[in-house]
Amino acid sequence: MTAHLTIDNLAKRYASTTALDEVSFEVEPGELKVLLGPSGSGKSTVLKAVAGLISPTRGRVLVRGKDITDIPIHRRNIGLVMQGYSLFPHMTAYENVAFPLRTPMHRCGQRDLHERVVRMFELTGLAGLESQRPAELSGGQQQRVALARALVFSPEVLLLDEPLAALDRELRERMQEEIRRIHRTLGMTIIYVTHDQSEAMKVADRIVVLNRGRVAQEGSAVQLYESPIDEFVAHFLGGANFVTGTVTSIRNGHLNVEVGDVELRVPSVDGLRPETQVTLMVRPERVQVGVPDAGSNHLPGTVVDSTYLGSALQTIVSLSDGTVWKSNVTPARSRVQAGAPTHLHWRIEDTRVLAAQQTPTNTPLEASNEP
Amino acid sequence: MPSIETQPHASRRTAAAVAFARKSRGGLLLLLPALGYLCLFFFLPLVFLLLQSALTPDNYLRVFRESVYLDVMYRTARMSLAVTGVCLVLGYPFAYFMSTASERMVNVAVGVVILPFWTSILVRSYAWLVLLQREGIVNKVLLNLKLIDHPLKLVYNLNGVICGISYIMLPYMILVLYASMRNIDLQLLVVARSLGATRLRAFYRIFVPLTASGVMAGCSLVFILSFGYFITPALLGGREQTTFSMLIDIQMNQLLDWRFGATLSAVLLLVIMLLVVAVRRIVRVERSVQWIQ
Ligand SMILES: Nc1ncnc2c1ncn2[C@@H]1O[C@H](COP(=O)(O)OP(=O)(O)O)[C@@H](O)[C@H]1O
Ligand SMILES: [Mg+2]
Repeated sequence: MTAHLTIDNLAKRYASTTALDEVSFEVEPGELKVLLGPSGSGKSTVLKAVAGLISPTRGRVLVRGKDITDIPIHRRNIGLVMQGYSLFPHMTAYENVAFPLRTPMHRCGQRDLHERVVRMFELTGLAGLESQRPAELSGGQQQRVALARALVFSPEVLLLDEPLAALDRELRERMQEEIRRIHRTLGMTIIYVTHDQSEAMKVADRIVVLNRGRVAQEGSAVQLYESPIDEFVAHFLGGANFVTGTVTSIRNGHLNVEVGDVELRVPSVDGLRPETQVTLMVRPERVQVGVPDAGSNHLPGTVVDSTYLGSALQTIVSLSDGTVWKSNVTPARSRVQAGAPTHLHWRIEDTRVLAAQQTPTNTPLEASNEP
Repeated sequence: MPSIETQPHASRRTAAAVAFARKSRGGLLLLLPALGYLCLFFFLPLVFLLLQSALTPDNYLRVFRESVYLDVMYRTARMSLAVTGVCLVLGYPFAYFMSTASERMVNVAVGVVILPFWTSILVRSYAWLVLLQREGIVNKVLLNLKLIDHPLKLVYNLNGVICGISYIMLPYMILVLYASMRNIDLQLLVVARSLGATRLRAFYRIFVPLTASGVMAGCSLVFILSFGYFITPALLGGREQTTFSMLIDIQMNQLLDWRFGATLSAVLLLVIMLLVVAVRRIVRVERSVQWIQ
């Protein structure tokens, strides 16, 4: 089966910046794909290239295997909801939603038009608001009108650019479920752009992580969280502890990695040989503080701070080389005295080996470190 | 949480700063010089004028009895309407260009629009004479190109007046239109196109309706200014193009009938004020209809 939408080697250069360096990914029919990345990583640029708002410097966009890179914007049949919704302020909600059906591209009979608009109002939970103008609607309602307007002409693909960024948190969470429901009902192929990792994990079938105009990693939420490919992805998807060491030997499907004067055991990774420098990553909620169990990895350190968070106890520990690690464990036990020497320990299979980064370490702009 | 959409820029004019500036009462004092000037040289003479016209109320009847006054009023209105139309047709595309141009182009365009203000109206009106008269540049070029056999009568008629006044009024129209267009989110046009609209359709279904109030403001400004206009029609018009303000001038400067001149002035003032009120009413109704629908 061919992909519904194919982004093939897309690049976009502006005079002073490279917005997209090289982006390729595919979206399957009926899939909700999230484009996740910090601000400025090129997410909107990808959507603009797909919708035809900009022409890429290099690369192609294909719909069902057909190249649409040179088709003008109004004949692409792609639904687009921009950041800030862009509702037509001089038209009622009804007229906004009916607008596409009155263009030559999607024209239909009067009765058909009315039926389709009404169906969209029902689907998006807007019934009763037909005669309101955008200025009279709440943020959430405007969002729904924009969604209804982008869906009413049954586009090939729906593109959503940070659709919930302007809404408050409660409404945002409701809309996330709403969008998933609409997605299920219509079986629509969707690209959903966001910089919020928790939103991405909540709505996505699969996630493409963008960093500086490149795809950093693609996968399901579980894959990205459990097996991030590099420090950037590890950091962007949640809290992460890092430590670097040298592979000393490979035995019984395990790597032995020497960190300072401690030996850690790590699930084996293809293509790694002794003497290689590697970065290891462990999620804070997998790290325990205290006396290590036999057969687990452990590192000595000093407690810097310990905070009771209710649902978890967060302990910050400084390793002997100054690296700071976090442990977020549930159930929360009593706090540990700051300054006390202690041990961090975790299961061998919770240790991840990251790819060496070619580019200097990225500090993600909007990565949230809290779980 | 302040939404990013409604507050794109952090304002330097925070409420606290404005309140602080207000508290120093000096603000009101700053109004006094201009206010005093206006009172002394505008409101006072105006009141004096109106009083004078009131001395002979019969004069008001005369304005309506003798057909020439209403006739000229009507013709002045027609001429102003034509000027307004010309300015809109010329100004709208120009303002649209400005609203989509880069900042540097906008600065150049604003310069071009404002440049004529640096020269006196009298000079500019005479310049039109040089262009349009029988032996003028336009006629010479057309004759040399053999497009015409006889020189056209381009001036001392309605054509001359409309050319002259439109040229004076055009900057006002452009600046008012530009001010309203600048606030239109051009992304709306892009979105309209992604929904299937052609470039042209996006323009007249989205952009044009959003400029309606700007068009209304520009047209009423130009119409009202043209209505009371004096110098240019006097220089470039013929007998047929006598405007209402020229009638006033004749009463005051030639017939020395100050009282009747005052009456005519009062009538002109009244008509213009009624027009302003009417325009406001229409715009407001239009807006409230928009809300209701
Ligand atoms: N029209 C433009 N001209 C110049 N640079 C641009 C333009 N549009 C976007 N960029 C740059 O391209 C990069 C990616 O932008 P964008 O795709 O909007 O990022 P995101 O949506 O992920 O925040 C940014 O560095 C931005 O400054
Ligand atoms: Mg963006």
